[in-house]
Amino acid sequence: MTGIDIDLDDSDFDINRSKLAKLQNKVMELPSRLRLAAQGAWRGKERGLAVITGVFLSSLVITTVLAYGVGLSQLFFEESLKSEPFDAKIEYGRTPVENASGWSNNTTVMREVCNELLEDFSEFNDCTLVLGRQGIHSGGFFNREFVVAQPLEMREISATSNPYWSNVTFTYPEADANGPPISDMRAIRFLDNGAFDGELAKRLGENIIPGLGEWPSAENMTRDRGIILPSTIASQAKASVGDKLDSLTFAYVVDESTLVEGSITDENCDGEITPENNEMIYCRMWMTVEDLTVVGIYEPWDFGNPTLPFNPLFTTLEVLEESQRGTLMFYDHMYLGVTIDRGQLPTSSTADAEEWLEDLGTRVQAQNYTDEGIDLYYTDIVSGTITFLNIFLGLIQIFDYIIMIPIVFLSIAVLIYGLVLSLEQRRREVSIHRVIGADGKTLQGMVLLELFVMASAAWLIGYILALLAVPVVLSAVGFMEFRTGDFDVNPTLGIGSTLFTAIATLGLAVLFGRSRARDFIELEIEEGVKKTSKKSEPKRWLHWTAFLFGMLAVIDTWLEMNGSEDGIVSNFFIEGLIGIFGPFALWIGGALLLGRIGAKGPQIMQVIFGRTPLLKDVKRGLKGSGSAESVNRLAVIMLLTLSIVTLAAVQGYTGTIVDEKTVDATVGSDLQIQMEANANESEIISIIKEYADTGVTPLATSVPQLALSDELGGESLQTYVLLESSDGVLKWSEQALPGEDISEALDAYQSGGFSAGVDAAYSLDLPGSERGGDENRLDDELLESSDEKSRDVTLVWEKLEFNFSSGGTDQPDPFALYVAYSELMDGDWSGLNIQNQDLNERNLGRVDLSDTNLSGSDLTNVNLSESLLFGTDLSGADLTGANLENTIIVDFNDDGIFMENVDLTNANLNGLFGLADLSKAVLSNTTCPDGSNSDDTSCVNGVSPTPPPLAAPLFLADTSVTLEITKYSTEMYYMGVHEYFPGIDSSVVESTLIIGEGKWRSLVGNDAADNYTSTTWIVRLDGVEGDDLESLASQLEADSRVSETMDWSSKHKEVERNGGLIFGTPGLLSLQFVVASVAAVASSFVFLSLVLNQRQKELAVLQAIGASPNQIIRLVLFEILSIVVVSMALGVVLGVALALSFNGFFDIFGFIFQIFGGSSTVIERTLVYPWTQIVLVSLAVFAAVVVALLVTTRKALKSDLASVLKGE
Amino acid sequence: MDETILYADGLYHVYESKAEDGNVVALRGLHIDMKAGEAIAVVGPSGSGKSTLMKCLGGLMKPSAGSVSLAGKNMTRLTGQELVQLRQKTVSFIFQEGNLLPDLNARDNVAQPLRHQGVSSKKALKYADAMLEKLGMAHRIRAMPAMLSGGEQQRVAIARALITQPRLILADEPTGALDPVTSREVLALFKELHENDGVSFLIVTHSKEVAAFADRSLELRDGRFVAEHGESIDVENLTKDRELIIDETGTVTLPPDLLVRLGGAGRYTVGNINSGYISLQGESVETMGKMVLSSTCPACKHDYKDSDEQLCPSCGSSRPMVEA
Repeated sequence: MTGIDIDLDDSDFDINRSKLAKLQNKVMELPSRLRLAAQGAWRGKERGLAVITGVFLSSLVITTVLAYGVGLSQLFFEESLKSEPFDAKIEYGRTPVENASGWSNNTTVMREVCNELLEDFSEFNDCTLVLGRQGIHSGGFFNREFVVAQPLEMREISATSNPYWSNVTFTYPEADANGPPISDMRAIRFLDNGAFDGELAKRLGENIIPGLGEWPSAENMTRDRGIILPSTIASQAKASVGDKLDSLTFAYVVDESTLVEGSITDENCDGEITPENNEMIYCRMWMTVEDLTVVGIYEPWDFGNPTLPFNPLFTTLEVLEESQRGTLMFYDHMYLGVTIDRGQLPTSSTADAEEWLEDLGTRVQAQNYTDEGIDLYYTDIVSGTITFLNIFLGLIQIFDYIIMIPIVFLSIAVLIYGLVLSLEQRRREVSIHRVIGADGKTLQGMVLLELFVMASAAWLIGYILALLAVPVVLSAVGFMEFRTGDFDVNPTLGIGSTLFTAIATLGLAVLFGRSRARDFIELEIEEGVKKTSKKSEPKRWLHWTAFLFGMLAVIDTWLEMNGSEDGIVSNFFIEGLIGIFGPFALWIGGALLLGRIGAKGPQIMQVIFGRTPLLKDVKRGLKGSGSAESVNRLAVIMLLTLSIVTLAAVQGYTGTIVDEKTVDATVGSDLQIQMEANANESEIISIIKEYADTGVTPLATSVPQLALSDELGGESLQTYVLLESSDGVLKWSEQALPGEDISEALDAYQSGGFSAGVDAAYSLDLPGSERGGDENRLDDELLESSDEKSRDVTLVWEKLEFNFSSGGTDQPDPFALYVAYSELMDGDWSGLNIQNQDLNERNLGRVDLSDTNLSGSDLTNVNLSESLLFGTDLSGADLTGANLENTIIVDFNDDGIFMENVDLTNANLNGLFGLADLSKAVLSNTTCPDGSNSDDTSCVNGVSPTPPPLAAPLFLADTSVTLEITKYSTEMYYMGVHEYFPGIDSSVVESTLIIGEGKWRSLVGNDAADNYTSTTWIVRLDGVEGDDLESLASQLEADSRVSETMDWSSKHKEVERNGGLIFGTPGLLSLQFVVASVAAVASSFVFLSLVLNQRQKELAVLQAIGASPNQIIRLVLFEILSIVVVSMALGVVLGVALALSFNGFFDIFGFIFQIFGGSSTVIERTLVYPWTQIVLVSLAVFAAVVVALLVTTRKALKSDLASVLKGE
Repeated sequence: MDETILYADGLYHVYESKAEDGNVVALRGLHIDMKAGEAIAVVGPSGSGKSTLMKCLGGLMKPSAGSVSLAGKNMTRLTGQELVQLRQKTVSFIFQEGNLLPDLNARDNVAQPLRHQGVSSKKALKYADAMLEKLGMAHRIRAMPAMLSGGEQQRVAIARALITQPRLILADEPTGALDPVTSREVLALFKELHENDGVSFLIVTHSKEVAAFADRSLELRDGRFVAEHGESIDVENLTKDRELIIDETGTVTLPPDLLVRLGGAGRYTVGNINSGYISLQGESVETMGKMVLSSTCPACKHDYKDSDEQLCPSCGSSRPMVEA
């Protein structure tokens, strides 16, 4: 045609192609279509801004949450792996048996095994032979075998140059408390040379206190016969580096049986017989090594995986003779400690890591080693930690995903908003395409392709930014407060997760894009035929329903915060539903409903400001721009944004406050000190002054305790005394005591009132116990003695006292006597629960059975001679024929309940001393303490007044004494329920009472009160904070007089890190906050672009007829800003309601976390409103919006008037 | 060449409006029968329904009533997809303002229609380049529309229209925005297409030269073709050489000037009527006073002086009748 040859045939056109050919063509055309889409996207980028923002934000958020999960696991990993240098304990395949194969007690052979392991497995990077805890030979913490295997327990150290060693006790009760009951003694670990170089030396040496020795090389260790001590032991012994120790004795296990079996007896055990809390009884032999030198002192590790004993003494194998080593190995005290190259550990998920480790263990066990064919059992240490982590992490991740839902929703809202607006702006383009031959499908395809290109770019940017942001988010310790440098985390997402983020964001974008584009294009094509478009009426009733449902959650929280017990519903399940779904329903319903008010912003502002000079001249022009739909949408987005901003600020800030209060409650004040020995106030203050800066005045207080019971009977309750000196020291918060005013409550104590925890109130049948119906309800109020709900109670303190008829004792009181006597005992069976067991014929002579529950047990013919039964429950036990000669029994229950129905038929009670009501027992042919026979005298003379021979040295000569319980009582009035006591473990507080100093003195006497000493002191140090406080605390702890310290600053860091209630929420809330603000600015910007575009002609005409740019700016901006301002204000209100409703949500999750051992807190989550912060932030967002708008408007006004006016 | 390329019968279109005057009737029973290879000019005052006419005839819009056939196919029966395909193969549009896609450069703009038909980019771009070169735009093939002058934009638009080898070109004031030299070049191109390639043209115009290029001209008033002019239509003086159109329904419209000369609106009895002849006798005629043609143009104040022009040569608005 016209001189150009257009040489196209039928096959070039789609209309003539088969389906397959069409598809082929589509594929081939893809590059050029992508090019066009990319060009279009780039050239129309302003139009696409909202789309890009929406996709970017949702990509950012989704990726952050996922990567956050990965980062969390890495973090947890790091933290928990820190506490144990060994990554696996490789034991004999089976417990060694004489003449069996698969094991060897030859040191050289086992060293060879170590070498082979290092050669065959690249995963191990260090290995050493160790003599220490026995082989476990099974998997899992929950297995019985796990607790049976015993460590090498320390017994004693002696050094002629240092007499303090004889005072050192190697008991280590914390070991028992922080893990399953394995052993409560300090352990000793003999390490081979492999532990003194390479990776092991690095890990083990990490905690050596600078200046106090070092982790030596193998040669030096051997040459010096070195030993490395934990600092607690070193300070008890006042030992230092270089000290010589003459001898060290430890115990190893040669035989064991269950407590009930009782097959370990004097006959078959040459050594010591020790029962343990794990219901086993062991026969141990002692071994001694000599001539050791202290070469280092280390800071104890945190308690972690209990597979290996915590914080042992370390020394070298070389101090043992080969025969000694052989013996220990025979008794299964050998293992190989290995370290794993942690870089090889898969970090993508804990499940992957677990699998990898399991595989490693299987491979190690699959072969045998050296010519001797040694079999091994692989006890993993690392993955035990992982199992626990998995559950905890899973929960945290679910929680985090849920709280991120609002922000994802917001991002998508922005995305859709942008889509709709950008389509509107392409109306003309669409009609041109139609004219030149495009059909609906093609148009849709073009629009979607462009959308896809934009969305992909946005997704990528969001993804990268998110990965960079995660470490920052993880380092958040409070709302918008970050602390870096604590750890090193590099979260990366696996392919699967990355694909997921891409599919989620791009998928959503394309999905919404498709439906919107289709609707839009159909509308365009239908033009001329149907002028009216079917506008679907928004489902108002749905919005109202959601909103009202959400309000339920708000009201519930509000009620509970203001003293009501249950809020609206008491059914836990329904409350749970409201708590979890309520906030979201409120948010969405509220935003949609309140959005309509926001959209009326211009009208509202007009009413308020219409008369002012600001608007007078442009009033007429304010008729409303954009379609009603786009205005509404903008209002909704602003609402969503600001409500998230407010929510994040309130919850984040509240979290910060809760953390602080939690620390206050845990530590009590700035510092809590545990002393080695009892001390009084002035001693404490002087010790602190030694280390603190001059000018610092410490204030110290302590919390005396005693047991009180109701005069009318009932169990005795642990009671704390509020000394007057505590006034300026303890950090109270209103929640702790009854009523709203702390000082009122404190005064009430001093005037004779007492408070009870909820369980204590129940025991005393007082209101406030949460049981017993409405009459017994007591909300948080401070009762006066005249109040109806208050009662006067006479509380009784029973004091165990000596009543000397002659002689006396050096011991100040019966309790001191008890302590002294218990040290004379051969065996320690105290604190055990052996009720209803069969223990007949057993030899339990000279054994400490204090606090043990033997009720109902069969103790026929048992030897209990000279044993100590202080507080032992014998009720209902059968002691027929038992030997209780010179035994000491102290039953300090007033009613003699521990002696009730004890069968003492044929028993020998000669010389029985102490405090026991024999009339409660069954006596028949029993030898009474005075030597008479019960059939004759019914043992009417009771227990012997003469101390038994073993205890005699504790008394003066010719002492005749009886123990008595003296009751002291006083009347007090009930003032209400308390919730916690600063510095006291909150888990016990519910069953306690609190009284004031005055009443305490009337019970124990001024003498005892004035001379009161304690090991635990709470100290306030004004002016000492943060790092200064922490260093003061560690200096104090290093002092030999001090056992332990706990300071506010370190505790705070711990609580912050562990989230107080839920780990890591502050970071995510901060992220929500930032994202929401960005969304707000972007949405306003986009809306304005549309407005300016649509009204371009109108604005140009206005300018042409004489309106000044200033007036135009006021006209356009005022309209959009009034929508923004009204919506923002409403958004803050909605945000406050949201924060209230979210409280229920936090509570529920907090409860679930507590079950899994997350750190719990007694502090209620009372919302705090950081109004300053909220206002500041709102202003900041507003300012950003204004700036963006000004810039855009000015630009638009500069455009070519003429070309605009010429029009289409 | 007797094939009918475009046929419309009883074409009505009504725009719904909430304005006081009620709905707007843009087309009132319009008829047209265009043979392949014809060039027809459409003249008439603004507001007579030209845009609506273009859209309906080109299949861009479905008329409220009536039928339109393009190349023998009745468009009212076709589905959306079929309609598009018919349009792709048969008709191209040229508007007064270039209407280029603002985000694509010249060659992409020109190639786009072929792309929409499934032609590969490579081939489409090849022909686009050739077409642009033919139209003297070789040096600007990569320019963006915003960078082109009005004339250049129009040339690109024309290239775009031609690349699909249409059988019919619907043009709305194609030279309206062009300078005289360019206009002449464009017309020469049209002539070539018309004479050498047999392309049919339906052009709405105010321009003498364009009308002269056409074989015949149709006068459009108030949504109907009321009269036909021959080749030598005098756009400025439509009273000359006018043939009134009486369509199949018998509707006839008297242009204002004839109405004046007749005496005015009213009732007439039919006098003589023969094949090709009718006389009317006014019974009760509302004389329009003495309505004369206004001496000045109300819009631009142009002085008509003594002429009988119906359209203002300065601004194009129609010349009203006023009472003397």
